[in-house]
Amino acid sequence: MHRYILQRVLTAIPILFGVTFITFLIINAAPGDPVDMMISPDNPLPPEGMRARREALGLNKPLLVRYVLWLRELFQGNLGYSLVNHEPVLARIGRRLLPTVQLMGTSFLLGMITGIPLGILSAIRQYSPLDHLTTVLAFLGISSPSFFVGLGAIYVLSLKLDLFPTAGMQTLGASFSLIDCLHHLILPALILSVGTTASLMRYTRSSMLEVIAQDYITTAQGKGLTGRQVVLRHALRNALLPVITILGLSLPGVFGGAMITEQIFQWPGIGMLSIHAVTARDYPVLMGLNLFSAILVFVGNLLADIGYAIADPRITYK
Amino acid sequence: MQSRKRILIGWMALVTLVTVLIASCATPTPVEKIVTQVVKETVKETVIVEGTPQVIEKEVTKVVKETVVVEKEKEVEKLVEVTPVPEKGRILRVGMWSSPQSFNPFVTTGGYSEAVMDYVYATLTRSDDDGRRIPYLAESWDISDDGSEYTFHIREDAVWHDGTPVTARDFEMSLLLHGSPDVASIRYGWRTNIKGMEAYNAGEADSIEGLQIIDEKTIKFVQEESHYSFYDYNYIVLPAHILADVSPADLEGHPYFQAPTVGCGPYKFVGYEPDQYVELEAFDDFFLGAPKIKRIILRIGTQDVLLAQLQKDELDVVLVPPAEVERVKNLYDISLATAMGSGAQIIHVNLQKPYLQDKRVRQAIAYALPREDMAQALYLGGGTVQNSPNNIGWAIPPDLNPYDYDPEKAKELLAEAGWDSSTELLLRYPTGNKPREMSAPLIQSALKEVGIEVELQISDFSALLEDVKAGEYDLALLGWMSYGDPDSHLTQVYLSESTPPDGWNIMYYKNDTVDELIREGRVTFDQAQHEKIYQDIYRILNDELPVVYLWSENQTFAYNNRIQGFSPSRYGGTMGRGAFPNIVELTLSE
Repeated sequence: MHRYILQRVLTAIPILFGVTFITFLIINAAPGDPVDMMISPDNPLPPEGMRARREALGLNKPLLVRYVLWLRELFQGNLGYSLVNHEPVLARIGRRLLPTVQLMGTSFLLGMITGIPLGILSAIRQYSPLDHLTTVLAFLGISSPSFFVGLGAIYVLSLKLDLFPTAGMQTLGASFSLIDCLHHLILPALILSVGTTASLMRYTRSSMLEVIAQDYITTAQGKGLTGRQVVLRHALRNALLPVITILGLSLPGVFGGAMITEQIFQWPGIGMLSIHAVTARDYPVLMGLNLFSAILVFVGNLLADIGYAIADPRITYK
Repeated sequence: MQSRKRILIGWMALVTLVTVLIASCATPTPVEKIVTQVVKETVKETVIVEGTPQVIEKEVTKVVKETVVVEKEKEVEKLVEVTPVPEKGRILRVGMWSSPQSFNPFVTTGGYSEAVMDYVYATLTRSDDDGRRIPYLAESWDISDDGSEYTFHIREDAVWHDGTPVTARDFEMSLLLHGSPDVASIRYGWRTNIKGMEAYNAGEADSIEGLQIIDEKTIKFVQEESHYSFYDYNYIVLPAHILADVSPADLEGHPYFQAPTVGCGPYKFVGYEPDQYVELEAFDDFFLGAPKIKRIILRIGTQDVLLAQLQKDELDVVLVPPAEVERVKNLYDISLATAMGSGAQIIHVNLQKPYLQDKRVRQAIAYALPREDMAQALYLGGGTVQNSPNNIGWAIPPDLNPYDYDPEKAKELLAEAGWDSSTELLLRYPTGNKPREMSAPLIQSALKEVGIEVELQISDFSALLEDVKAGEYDLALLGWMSYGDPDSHLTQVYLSESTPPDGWNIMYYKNDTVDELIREGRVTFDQAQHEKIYQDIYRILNDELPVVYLWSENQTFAYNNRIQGFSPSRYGGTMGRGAFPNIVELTLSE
């Protein structure tokens, strides 16, 4: 197993190089540059200042030179400085991690707590009214755009019913309070969890159905075990295997944030940072974000594979 | 069986409960309310000047009152009372549409960064609503007879937020930083008319010749070329006692710019929660008096969410997009204030293309657009049609051709010019301004009516700039803001040398008379002559139409009635101090 992990890590390194290089090419191919985005579109600025800025930011050097410079800094542990406010990229991204994990982690947990049991119930009572209802709701959940659902929720739950605050992480101007933060967390986490619930439910349901069709389940029922024992002790364990894979693959999502929902609820997460970085053509931050993302995808995949090996004794890696 | 029934009943109960809740809140009680709107508009007046009647334009502030039946929503019993909102009456909560990028004036001129810097810093002078200069940090100034030297007297009572007095040294240091080649200030181009600035920037001099410190509170600026509308001196001043010893290379990363807690404006910077809000606190020793509102929070959010927050009383004031004005007007407790826009949306014409070089074609385009109706549709009454680069009263001659909608005339002109109707024009426009985006298809169909085929292409702003500078367009929709004096704008956009990369003359317009007039206007110090020159320029532009002027957008602010004395100026767009020129006097009731 250890050798397997080492192998994976070693193959990941050239892949990460490739990813960062391609990312660098792509973001530089986008028209416009950071200095164009620093000026106000309606207020003309004499170009001398802009020229000087470009020079100072090193934007006039050839592409490959800039990439190699970035790599060199990277090996010294320095991700560079944001072109926008000169904050170290590591700090800029790092600051956003906690709120992102708070939001995405909560929504994920909510999704798991609701989705998996619903999926199991759906599978056990296949074709029942409950099954039909949850299927319809699942499709609604997957297909509703988060923007629409988010604004709708704000309008109904926050504006009309006054149950929750509209946006932000805490009440403006008030001192810090855990309850207040949780109160602000509920709505965005809820909106985000809709998609997760729906898809987890569908996956669990189909996986469960597959397992129930197996012979050993019929044997267990024949033995006289109660329905609950059959489901919980035998079927569930096997049905959850594919779900583990999905959870592992969702790891980048937990740290990656959700751009649209964060925008609506003004949640200062990595999603919002990404949007700002793209609009501002903030190359160092974009490279940092992409590297971070790529590493997470790698780790997520690896964890999923290991988890699978642990859970399923039929699988071994050499 | 049992559990299935139970689940079903549970669902139905939940659904019923939610429906009842919603229904109970949705029945409003009708109430009459008086809606007041403060509107500044331009009116034409006939005035006798030297014996001849003349029609001039004046700006008047009107308060429009109308009685409206409004539905006041029943107070919903708070189901969850979590944290009491602190001191509603003592914090001014302002909505901003986007986050400030940075608080470093050398690095950005972005509107939202400017908004925060407006509160925290001060400049020597500022503009009133007619574009005239009024004292701010400078209590008075003297101009030499030939107009080339400006001597400013800094207020005795001007102090930094930590109590240190504001002195000429602060101005000297700030200007040196703007000119320093190591700092590479993005605003350098606005300071080049100070004598010796370019030499200093090129490394040929150790100091700036045109900046002379007379004494602690007196500073003199000498112009490189004597211009009437010299404004280079009006830069944001930074504290020398904090930044003087910082080397230019370390300047950008200096913690001061992450949190500019020592400024000289009416409010002190308290903190910035990234992408959430900026917190400001009143500076009681401010030279115009201690601001009455003690705390300000600039809240960042999307337009829809900010409006929802205004309704929910989580915000006190926010800009309203034109489409929402009708709805917001009817909200209880909310009033509207409108400031006439200060710029214009313009169709730039690429004069490098041979088929656009005949001015009759451009005039035809102007006649073909029903601008009055389009402005009405796009801005729902909040837009004013323009026929000149800006809407400053004194520069606009009374005899401009208004190019009223006349498609027949347009067709005539096109026929005269020998327009080939198979030519397709590429109209490019940027994202970021909803009404402008919506105007493009309207323009396309209006031009089609008179036989001009138009293809639309939307891009993001930065991409558009690049292409437009390279001449890859036929028509480009862009907007310009304008400040007090038209010289800066005319120089950058219409002067024949200001073609990219040296300026914004993306039309490649060349008219020797206009060039001459612009140069003359700069050095004409007689007020009446000065005005006449600009009026002549505007007449030429109005006839030749290197660009087709569309309209200027009004800015409508929605604010909670607890704000007393709210009167936005026309430059208030990004919710900086421009929206609150009298921020020191505003109060909150209750």
